[in-house]
Amino acid sequence: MPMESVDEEGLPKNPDLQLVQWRFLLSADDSVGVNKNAIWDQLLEAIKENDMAPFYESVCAETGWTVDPDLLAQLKSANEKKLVSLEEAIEDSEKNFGETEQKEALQAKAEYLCRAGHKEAAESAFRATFEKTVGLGYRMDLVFYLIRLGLFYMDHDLITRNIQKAKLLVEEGGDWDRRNRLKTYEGLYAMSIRDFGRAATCFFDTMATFTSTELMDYQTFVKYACFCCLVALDRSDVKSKIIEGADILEVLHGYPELREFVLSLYNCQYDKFFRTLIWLEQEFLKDRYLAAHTRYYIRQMRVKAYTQLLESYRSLSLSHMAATFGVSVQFIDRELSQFISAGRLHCKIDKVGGVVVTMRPDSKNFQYQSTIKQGDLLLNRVQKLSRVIHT
Amino acid sequence: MASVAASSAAALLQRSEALLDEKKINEAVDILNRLVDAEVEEEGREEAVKIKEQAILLLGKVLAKHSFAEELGELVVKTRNMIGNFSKAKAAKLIRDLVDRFLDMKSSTGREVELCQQCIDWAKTENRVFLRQALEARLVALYVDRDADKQALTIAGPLLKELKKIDDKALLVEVQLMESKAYQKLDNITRSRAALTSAKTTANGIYCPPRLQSALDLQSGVLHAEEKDFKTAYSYFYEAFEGYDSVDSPMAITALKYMLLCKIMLGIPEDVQSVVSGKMALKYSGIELEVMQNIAKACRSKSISELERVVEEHRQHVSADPIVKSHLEALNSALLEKNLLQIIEPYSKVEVQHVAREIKLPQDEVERKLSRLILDKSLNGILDQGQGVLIVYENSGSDQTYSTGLEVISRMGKVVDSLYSQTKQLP
Repeated sequence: MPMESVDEEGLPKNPDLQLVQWRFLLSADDSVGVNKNAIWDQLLEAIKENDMAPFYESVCAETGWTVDPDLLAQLKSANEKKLVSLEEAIEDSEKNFGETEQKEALQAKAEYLCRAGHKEAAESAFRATFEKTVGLGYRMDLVFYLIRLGLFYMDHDLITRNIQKAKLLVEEGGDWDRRNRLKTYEGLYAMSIRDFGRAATCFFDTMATFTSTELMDYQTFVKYACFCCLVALDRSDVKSKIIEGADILEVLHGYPELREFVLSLYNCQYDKFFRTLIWLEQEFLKDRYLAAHTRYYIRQMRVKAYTQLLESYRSLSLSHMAATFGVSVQFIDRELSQFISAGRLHCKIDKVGGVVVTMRPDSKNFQYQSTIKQGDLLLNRVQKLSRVIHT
Repeated sequence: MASVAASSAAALLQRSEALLDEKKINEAVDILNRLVDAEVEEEGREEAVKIKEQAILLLGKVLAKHSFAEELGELVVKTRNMIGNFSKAKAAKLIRDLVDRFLDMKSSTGREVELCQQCIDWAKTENRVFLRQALEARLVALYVDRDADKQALTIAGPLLKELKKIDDKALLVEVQLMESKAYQKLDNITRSRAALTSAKTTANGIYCPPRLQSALDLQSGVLHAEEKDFKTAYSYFYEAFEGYDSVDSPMAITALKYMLLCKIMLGIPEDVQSVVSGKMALKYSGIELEVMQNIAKACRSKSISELERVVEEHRQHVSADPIVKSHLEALNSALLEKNLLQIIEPYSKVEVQHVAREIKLPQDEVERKLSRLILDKSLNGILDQGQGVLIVYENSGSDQTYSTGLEVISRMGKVVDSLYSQTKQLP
């Protein structure tokens, strides 16, 4: 999608997920290397603009910055004033106007509470609005609001419940636009709970029709899609989806680190790949959704790289392997032993000869074993059946 | 800034023209500069303004012809400042003329983008819509030339919307062609093709000058080549070549080069010789064509080491053109693969060293390529580095026995299940 039109079609950034990302960065380790003061200023600006009293309190508590009581009082009073006026509008609409106006007034209140960061109040307000809303499209929009609220506070229960609800609504007859949007939300949530396979499928389904700029911008979306795809999909899928995916290639042109990461693994340039893993770790630690999965992901990618190299060799000298990866022999030794004992790699190290020998799990053998096992089970069941019939 | 009376201004103008004829460039430039800088007196204003305008145009032409890039840039700025003297239409025409000359000079002072941007901003404030659009189109072309494709696309987007609304077909074709080029450089072939199709559709509705038509043909050829359809690409390049040849454009040699490239990629390098000695191509013989001919010769010998040597020799020329470079890389890789498979064919177990010797390439490169082939499943075998050999497996058809056996067993399981449920219903 051409960059300009994407922004227009996104839903309003409410609640603004960028704010939680900033909060995450502020509480992150100093080693990640972000300019905390600059971020704090930006965050403060946004808090003042949106009257986010409770959010301000929680941010200060978490990061250890001192609460400014004047600012807090100011925010709280602004909150109350606005709420009062919104309540009046709601009563007014109930008395004088019809369903649609009531629903709009209720929605205005819910949106304000959401923007101001009052989680429970916003939730109940949205639920009230939901009762009054007619029309599948509008209902779905409200559900999207709730999912975003859940993502803001990382409330897994809220998110899963609402994704289920949204799926039911879509089945009833949602339009393609909302269907694709739901897929993007689903993909993002799947990625944050480490379900990279599902995330990859969701992201690639919606690649061509990305409009959810309220969640993340297009470049970040492509970045997440590449991460999920590289860890979850095998080589042929990676080729068709990324190497030959026109939209992805376009973004990769402007994003050299990501490009290096993707291409170095595919083109078997393992030393470059290991260097990009360093960049990758930084990226992961800085991102709210991915920080918890950093070690898992990097371990997976290492296993993938080793498997890919070992696939074409029956035996491979340790020194050659170390040279290919641009690391020392001891490092390779340690790594391989770790993964072999965990059962991730099918090979053995011959330290005397200085080689690594692969043992290909023979598929025919495996099939023979499973035939025997399943045949046995089946025979048992037929016997049981015959006993039942003859009684 | 001495003020010059109208009559003397006319005389000075004629004097400068005379000087130009005598090739006394610097003096002529001096006089013209004086004329341009001069203030305009109230009497005979119209005459004076006309003289000024002619002076500016003439000065622009002279500076461009003799490549005084800096001075021309300054002239543009000066003219902008003097805009109050001219009518709006005249001013727009002057600016456009000067900017066109400046950009055509291709002297890369680095100021082109800045200058263009300034003129666009000025045109916005003066509300000269057509001028701004023309300038933006030039800026897009400039960005594409400079490989700043993303910026080109950001400007091209809203510009295209405007042009479509006012239906300025001529400018629309140019900008769409630029868009196609930008997307192709960013590897987004689908978008590039879409942009080119819309350019062609728009071009169908107007009279397309041969230069533009040839540019469209060239771009179509490039896109077909990207999709590996070299036959169609060749015919497009041929059309482009004829078009460029008829207007004596320097792009003709590029079209010819791509034609030869297509022949090479199609696997008929013998034709290269016949094309080059054809009637129209004769006047373009030069280093570029020689490079192509050498590559064709290397291809004919089917030897990968020969091809690599030739590419290395002409590396400058090859890497200067990204399209040629990428296609040659693909050719290189395909030829290497074919050669390797040919050499390995008679063996079931062969030393990697032997293969490297046969193909005349260093051993690690060969090993790396072999492991890549095995990974991509083009070669059914395995490398044994401990012994330094490659073992080739027989292409045994996958044995269906076990998989069908397993399927039968699972089906039987389902039958047993249904029988079970039926017996439950028995009394």
